[in-house]
Amino acid sequence: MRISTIQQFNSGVRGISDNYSSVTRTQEQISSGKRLLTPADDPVATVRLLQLNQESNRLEQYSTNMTAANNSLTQEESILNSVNNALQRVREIAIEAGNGSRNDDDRKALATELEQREQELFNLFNTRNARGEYLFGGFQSSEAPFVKNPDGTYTYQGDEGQRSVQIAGSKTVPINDNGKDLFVNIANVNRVNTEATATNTGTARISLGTVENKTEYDSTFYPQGSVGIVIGAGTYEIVDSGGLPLVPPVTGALELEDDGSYNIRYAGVSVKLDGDLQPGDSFTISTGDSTATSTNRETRGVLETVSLLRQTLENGTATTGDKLQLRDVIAVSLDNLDNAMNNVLSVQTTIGARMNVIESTQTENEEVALINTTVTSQLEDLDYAEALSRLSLQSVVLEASQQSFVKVSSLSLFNLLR
Amino acid sequence: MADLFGIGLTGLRASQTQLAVTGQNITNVNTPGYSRQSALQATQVPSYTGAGYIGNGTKVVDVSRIYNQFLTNQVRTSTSTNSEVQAFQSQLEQLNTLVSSSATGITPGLQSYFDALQTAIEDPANLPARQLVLSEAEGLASRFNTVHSSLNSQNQFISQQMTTLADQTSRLATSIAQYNDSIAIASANGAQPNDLLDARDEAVRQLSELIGISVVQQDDNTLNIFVGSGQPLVVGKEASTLAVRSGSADPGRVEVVLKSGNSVQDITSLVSGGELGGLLKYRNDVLDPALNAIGRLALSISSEFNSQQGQGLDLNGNAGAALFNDVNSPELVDGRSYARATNSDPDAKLSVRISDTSQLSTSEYDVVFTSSTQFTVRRTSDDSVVGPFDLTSVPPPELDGFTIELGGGGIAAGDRFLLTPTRFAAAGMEVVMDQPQELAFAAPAVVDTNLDNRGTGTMSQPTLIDGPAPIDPAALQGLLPIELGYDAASGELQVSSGTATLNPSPLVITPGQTNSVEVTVGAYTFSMSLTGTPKDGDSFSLNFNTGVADNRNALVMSELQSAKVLGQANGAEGFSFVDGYGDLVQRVATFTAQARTDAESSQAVLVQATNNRDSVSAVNLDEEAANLIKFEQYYNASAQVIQVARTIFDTLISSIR
Repeated sequence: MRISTIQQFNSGVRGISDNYSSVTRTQEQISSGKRLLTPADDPVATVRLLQLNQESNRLEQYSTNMTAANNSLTQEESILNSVNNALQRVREIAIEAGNGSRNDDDRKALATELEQREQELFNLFNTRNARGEYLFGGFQSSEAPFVKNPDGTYTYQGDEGQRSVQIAGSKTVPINDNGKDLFVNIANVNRVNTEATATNTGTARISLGTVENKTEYDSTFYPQGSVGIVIGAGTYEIVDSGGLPLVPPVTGALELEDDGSYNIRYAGVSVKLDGDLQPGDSFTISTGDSTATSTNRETRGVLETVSLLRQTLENGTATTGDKLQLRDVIAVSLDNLDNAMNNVLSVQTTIGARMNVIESTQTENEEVALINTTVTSQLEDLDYAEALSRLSLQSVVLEASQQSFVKVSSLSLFNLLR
Repeated sequence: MADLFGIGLTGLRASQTQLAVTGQNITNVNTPGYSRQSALQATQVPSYTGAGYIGNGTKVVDVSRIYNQFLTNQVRTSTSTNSEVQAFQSQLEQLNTLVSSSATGITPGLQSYFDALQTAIEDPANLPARQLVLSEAEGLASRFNTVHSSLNSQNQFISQQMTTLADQTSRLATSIAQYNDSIAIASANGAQPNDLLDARDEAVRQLSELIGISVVQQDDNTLNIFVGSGQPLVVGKEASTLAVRSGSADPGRVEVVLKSGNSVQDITSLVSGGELGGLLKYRNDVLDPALNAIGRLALSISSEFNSQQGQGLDLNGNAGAALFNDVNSPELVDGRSYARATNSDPDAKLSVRISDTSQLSTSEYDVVFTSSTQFTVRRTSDDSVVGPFDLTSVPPPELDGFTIELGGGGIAAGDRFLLTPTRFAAAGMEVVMDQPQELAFAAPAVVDTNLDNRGTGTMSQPTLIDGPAPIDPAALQGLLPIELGYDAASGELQVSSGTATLNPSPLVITPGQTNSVEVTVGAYTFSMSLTGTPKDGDSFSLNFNTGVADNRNALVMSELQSAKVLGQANGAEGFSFVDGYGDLVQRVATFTAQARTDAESSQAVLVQATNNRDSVSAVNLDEEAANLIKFEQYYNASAQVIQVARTIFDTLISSIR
């Protein structure tokens, strides 16, 4: 084939410039460490990389969220530990106060400590985090969730809000618990009213009623609303609110217990009768009312329980009635304190469970992140061994094309015309 | 006896001519478009003598160029294709870098924004965290602005480039017409004006770099040149001019017109090939869809966040204000329709309002009125025509996620409008919220459990699933609280206080399971779930939320990160923000990769065609060197013939002495 001079030069220059551009490209890849320099180098991989990038950013954010959630939960747990300790001490005080060898002065002293514990609990319930937000107010984090009213009672003014953060694609974890569930909504064992009929001839006193079996109480007692106890000769009978015998009749023998009282149980409710019982005397037990000031509601807050115990201790035991009242209140308080501690404990368990979830999610996320990194690296990172050997080959080719061009272009007949 | 002197002389003359042609070839070795020439020799007419015909020497009969019409045509066609692809690719490479760069791409901005949102979710009452959300939102908006302005400046560059190209085309057309004229005159005597022909071929080749052309050779050796689908650029010695003007349908897109005499013809859609074709192809196939895709994304982000803002309460207890500017703000609506200058009322406007961003396409729309109210709409992306619609219908006609109303002015049959619902949205995106307190992270209502409940039933915090947008906190406050009580006898959850309806009604609760509860209060519907075992008389109240540490609405916002909120037209599943952008990146990347391959192959084709042509027509210096030697020797030999003639003559003269 005929080759013109211009062709010979063009093809030589084109060869050199093509080789030069591949060497440059390989060099760029080597200096950046990336196989893909622009999306067009591999459109499919680019989109995959975008997704992987987003995924790994999201995982990073989840990890930050998990750290934050862990911090909140750890803080909450440590506060709840303190609450439990304080409750434990309150329980000890209650038991000590029930000790028959203690006199009123001892109990006054105990009441003073109880006051401190009450204050301690109050402060713990109003704990704030480092940012000054109240931990136990639900969504109401800017105002103290528990306030003490002038009459000594407490009001919860937060709500039942619970905040969650996202820790995985479809997983959120709650990072707080509200004071209402934790410290206010505590089952009250003393949820019935008891009353001696005014016309009783005996002087017997009916104790505070306690609900021993909630299921029975709910199924039998609560629908009845109110029942009476009518004393016979060494026996008693439960009658309905109209004074008529139940169908079938419920009766029992009065048996004196070791502590000198008669214990009567009906439908999960237990009461004690103390003192002189005359046949024909009657007592009523009715379901508690739900007014805000009532002490016989379904639930009683921790602070109310402690406050009630303290007031009873402060009252002293001038009369037999006071002594019996003290006995009843201590018994009720112990049960309620147990309920409260159980409640706190169950929330602590939940917190532990949440932290476990966080931990396992963290592990999962790290694994996913590792896989992402591997895939990302496979997609965009350069195989240095391959690239370097490619570079040396390309350099050799470039040099060869340069040298051969010089050689060929110097071949001209004119050089030989002398 | 023949005249040896004469014969020698013809040889001298012929070899001189040959040497001159060789010299011409050598000196034009680097002249673009030059075809090597060769002189053709023939014998002189012989003289008749008694001994028969005796030769009279030689003569040069023609100087012709070595030329192949077919190869030249091939070079021209492949030049046109190649420069189209190169222009297309060089524009694409810019966009390719722009959309993928971490400094200018949208994805990193989206990511930072959602990161900030997640941080704020952890602590919704924290003002610095909220401020960060606002700042990142501003960052995101400015990324959109930047991408738009880069794309827009590409469009401006293309407009300027097209002006230059049109000027060059006109200039080349004029010079080709002049060559036509000269060649027609020069070849009238029968000889080929080789160098003029070469120069004209080169001009035609240069023209094919600028625009795709078809060339038709005429009998008188002139070339007629046509562009587009047969629009005459050069006819004989007459040349038309090419010019650009601002678009009649779309003033933002210049169009190419062919002016010949008094007629002006728009040939924008007909042009293909050459740099001009490449630029137009880029503008239509890549730039405008990219602008629209970016705009659609901006609209969707603005609209989704603004509407979610409106479903929650801010730190001050107000309904969330707009975070980004309204997608139907007057400035944005104003840029969405163009009336043709030829319309009955050129100032008439159609008002295009976005009604559903999930339905938006990235197309533009051509509206044609068949009467003063009836119109049809053509989607430019797939040329499908929908309609007819009536401008006066209530609610206004809606398609692809936007509505069309009369924005002002009068309309007559035949009027046309161009609608660009998404094109300018990315430029107009801005954050309008300035107080971080106004971010509505809280949900509007909370559930409170009655302290006297005996059962273990718990009700989850309510989610607003339906309500006016935005919500009206004052009205909602008036409607709440609502108390829901459980009635064991019927097993139903009932509204025990306040006015509300439950869905379904009656709402029977299965104790111990998760029961979904929907309450409609006025225009608001809340969804909750009741778990555990409630007892008779247990109640829950639905209250207005006054909490500041609530993050429920913000969690819904953060779900937008992966929610499929775009491209749901015709029941499609749709895609998320990031995937929407990823789609654009991939399209650009695929176009670029394709263009690179095309550029390489068209380059290879051009090289091959040029080689073929050069192989035949271009000068080879070795050949010319050999010719030089050959014709030098030829000259020497002819001179020797004269020397011999003189010697013979001298011999004769001296014999006479």
